[in-house]
Amino acid sequence: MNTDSVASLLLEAASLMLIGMVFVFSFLGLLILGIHLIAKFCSVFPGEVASESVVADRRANAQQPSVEGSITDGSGIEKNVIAAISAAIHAHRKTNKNS
Amino acid sequence: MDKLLLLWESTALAHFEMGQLVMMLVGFGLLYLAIVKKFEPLLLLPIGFGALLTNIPIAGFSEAGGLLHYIYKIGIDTGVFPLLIFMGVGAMTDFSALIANPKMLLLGAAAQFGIFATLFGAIALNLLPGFEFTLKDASAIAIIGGADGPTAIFLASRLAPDLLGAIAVAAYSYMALVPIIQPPIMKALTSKAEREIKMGQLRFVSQREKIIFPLAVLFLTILFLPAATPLVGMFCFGNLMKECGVVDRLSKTAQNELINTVTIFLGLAVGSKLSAEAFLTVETLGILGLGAIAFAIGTATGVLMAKLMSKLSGGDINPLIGAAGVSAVPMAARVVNKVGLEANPHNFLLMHAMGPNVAGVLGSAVAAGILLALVG
Repeated sequence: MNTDSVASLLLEAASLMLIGMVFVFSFLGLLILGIHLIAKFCSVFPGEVASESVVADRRANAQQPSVEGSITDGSGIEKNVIAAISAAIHAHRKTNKNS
Repeated sequence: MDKLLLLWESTALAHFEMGQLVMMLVGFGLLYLAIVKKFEPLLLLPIGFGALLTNIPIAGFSEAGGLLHYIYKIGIDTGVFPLLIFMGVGAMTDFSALIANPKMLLLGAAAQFGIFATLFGAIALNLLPGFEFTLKDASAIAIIGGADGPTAIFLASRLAPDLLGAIAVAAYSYMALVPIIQPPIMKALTSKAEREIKMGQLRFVSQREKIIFPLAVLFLTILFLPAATPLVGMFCFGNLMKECGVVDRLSKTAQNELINTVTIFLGLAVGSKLSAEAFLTVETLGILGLGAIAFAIGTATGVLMAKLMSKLSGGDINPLIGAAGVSAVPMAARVVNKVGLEANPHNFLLMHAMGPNVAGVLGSAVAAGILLALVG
């Protein structure tokens, strides 16, 4: 291949590199914004919309391993919070009985 | 005597050409790597065997009427197989690490620099005698730097079908070599103190977020880069099947039976492209060399970007995780974890590295879409 055509191809490759990287960054940057929006949406509507019971049911059925300490049931109360409270009540009653 | 001659003519011995023998050795080499060295055996085994079959004289596996010819035509010429694989990969991918820490997308983007730098390098190789890469060829070679097998095969089948065999072999070989290629680069670019940085625990990601995420990705792709929708669309479809939870049967099929079936045929079809006339060229050497460079540059830019983010964020990002930006899921993330553990035996970076790792998959699919849109 002669040097002239290689030079023009190189120029084209360089412009592709520039456009490509700018586009990849802006696309994924936009996605970052998108994820933040989704997170915000999900914290505003944590699950009391129609699909809530389905989600809760399925979660009970599937019993998928989830991040420990942050499993929520349908009402949005963390299960381990309930567990902690009931353990505390249990301990409280026990100490009261003893005294 | 005539009969004897006829019998001799019908043996392979009378028809072997040097190139076929060499390619059969290449096939055996791939089988050796798969079986003994356990390098990406799921792909290199069918590819190696396909290379053996396609180089058998007289049998004509890859000529019109032969089995491999049809498998190639149906699955790769049309682009169907890599897309089905992508659906399966989507059904196996868990985005929660990325959703919990969306900044990691920047690392996935930075690592794609390997692709575009290699595109430049492939064109520059034309200055040497014996190389004549067009812009399409160069783009197909460069995508090796995306470290994503199905993406590389998809793009090569669109842009440079003649180079597909070499590109696929290079892509899968380098993915298997990630644990050897990456650590020296990662160590050279970071100090021990940086490698020891511990990262805070990731927040919990609700199922609702995981369901909306693939739809949002697809929506953005539809708006800004329709050329990437075959790849991203199938990927998001697979992921949605996994996360929505109502089609567990379909999701399981996509992650197991379907992807396994397609992998068998994809491997054989790629192997059928390893014929002497297509593979034994100086261009193949160039492709293998460029692939390694693409990988190295992608790793380096990922780590450098992570260093920058670490500096800007006040040092709560371990720069090692940038190396996982070159997809190669989950191998690259495991390598990050291993190098992190070497610096600090109590520092487990695996979950943090999964974020840039899956971001890299999205990034390379986006890069492939850009190349398709601008070059294809």
